[in-house]
Amino acid sequence: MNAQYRHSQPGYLMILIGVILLVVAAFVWVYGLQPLEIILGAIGIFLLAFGYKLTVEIKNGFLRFWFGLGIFWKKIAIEQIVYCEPFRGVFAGWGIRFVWNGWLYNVSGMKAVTVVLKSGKKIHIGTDEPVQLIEAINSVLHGQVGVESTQMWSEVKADYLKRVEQALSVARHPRSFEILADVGNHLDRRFTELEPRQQTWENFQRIITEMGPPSEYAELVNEDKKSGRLKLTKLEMSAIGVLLVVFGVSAYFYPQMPERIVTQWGFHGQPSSYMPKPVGMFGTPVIFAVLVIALIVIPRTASVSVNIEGFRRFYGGLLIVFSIVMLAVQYQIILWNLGIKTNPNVVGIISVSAIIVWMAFRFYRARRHN
Amino acid sequence: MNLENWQTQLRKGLLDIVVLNLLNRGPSHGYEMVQTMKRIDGLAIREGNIYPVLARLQTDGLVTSYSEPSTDGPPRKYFKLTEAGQKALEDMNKHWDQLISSLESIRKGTGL
Repeated sequence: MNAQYRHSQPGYLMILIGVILLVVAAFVWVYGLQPLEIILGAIGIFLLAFGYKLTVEIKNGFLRFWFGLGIFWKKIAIEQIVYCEPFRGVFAGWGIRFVWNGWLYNVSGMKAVTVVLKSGKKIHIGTDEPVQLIEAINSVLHGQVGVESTQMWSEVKADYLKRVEQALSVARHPRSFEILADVGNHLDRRFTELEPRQQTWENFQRIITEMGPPSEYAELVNEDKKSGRLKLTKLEMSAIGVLLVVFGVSAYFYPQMPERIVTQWGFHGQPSSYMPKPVGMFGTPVIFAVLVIALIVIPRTASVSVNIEGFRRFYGGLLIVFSIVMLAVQYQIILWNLGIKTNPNVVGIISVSAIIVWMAFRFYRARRHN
Repeated sequence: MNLENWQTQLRKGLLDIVVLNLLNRGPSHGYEMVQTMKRIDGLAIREGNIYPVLARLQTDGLVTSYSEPSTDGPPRKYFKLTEAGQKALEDMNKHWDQLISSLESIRKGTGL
């Protein structure tokens, strides 16, 4: 059977970034500064292979979409969809990310379609023609019946959630996002309990009235509003611990280091770049300290519409990768300059492995999520 | 005095102890708790109110949550009492009993 809908959106920015990364990787490779070029090259090839387009297809009762060559794809049975609506976030962005309360898949632009499943989960699919995609899904989902009331409900619900979000943004409770998600699920459940003939404006308004005014949400969470948000997670404490150990070890060996120390190596393990002792010894830890602090501070300054817990899981993974790469780089710098000629390729292998494992994990989670 | 307003405030103030007592009977989800409360005289709340209360109790470590698939819709998010929640509930119930008996003694003039 031919597809009832099929559209590919080109990801020009992904192509551009991929090409730039490959050019930079080739340029860096000339100067023998591995493993940087391996990482850049791998990311460049990855972006070109998977980011150059996002294809969405509706066929045989399934909604399917995939990036680029199509190795990673998702398939959703149309009958599992409750309804779909235009993505209501401010910025759709690029790539696979956790936004609002679901995963977003996008290669370009600011537009996406939010698909709400019976399981309560949401998937945001990037597209440059959201209206056509919504119509295509609705025509399979409802035939020509019920489309209007479904859209009406999605507007009523979105308006209520928006007002709850605004009220909660004042309270800034760490679980504000969960509250929004729970309320959204509650509303979806109420909607699915309505018979088609009951799906009227009056009944939608009655449900909203029974939920209560948004201002009461803020009132009820107002106690201990900051405790969870500000508390450090175990991962964050571990990353700070690793940083402190690296600073301590670097300070301990500092007096034994030569005035100019090797900080980069060529492909065959020969030194290719020297730096003054203070920069060489503390440059890497300082850069990583800035990154770790940024990753700890960013989630805490985010607005209520951002899923703090989801962010923490994402940044937690990055913190682990950063810590492993920093340990590997600093281990190489200290041992080599102490006269123990370790193989610098080990650092490259450890760093690339950590990044690949993390990216693979992200993709596994992204595919598994829904 | 606006009696309705006083009742609303009292109901909101009692939400924590009511929710914890409901969860003391076993794990439950927000929708179910709202329906149960609707059936009890004087405890009917606005449906959305349950979620900020549960979120706050979770942040305080008195309650935890887990998801279970449901045959008739989205997976249910169940809440259950933690050990700290059990302990807090015992203290709250004790305090509540004291409060009721103190109020009774004022009403009857026996403890004055």
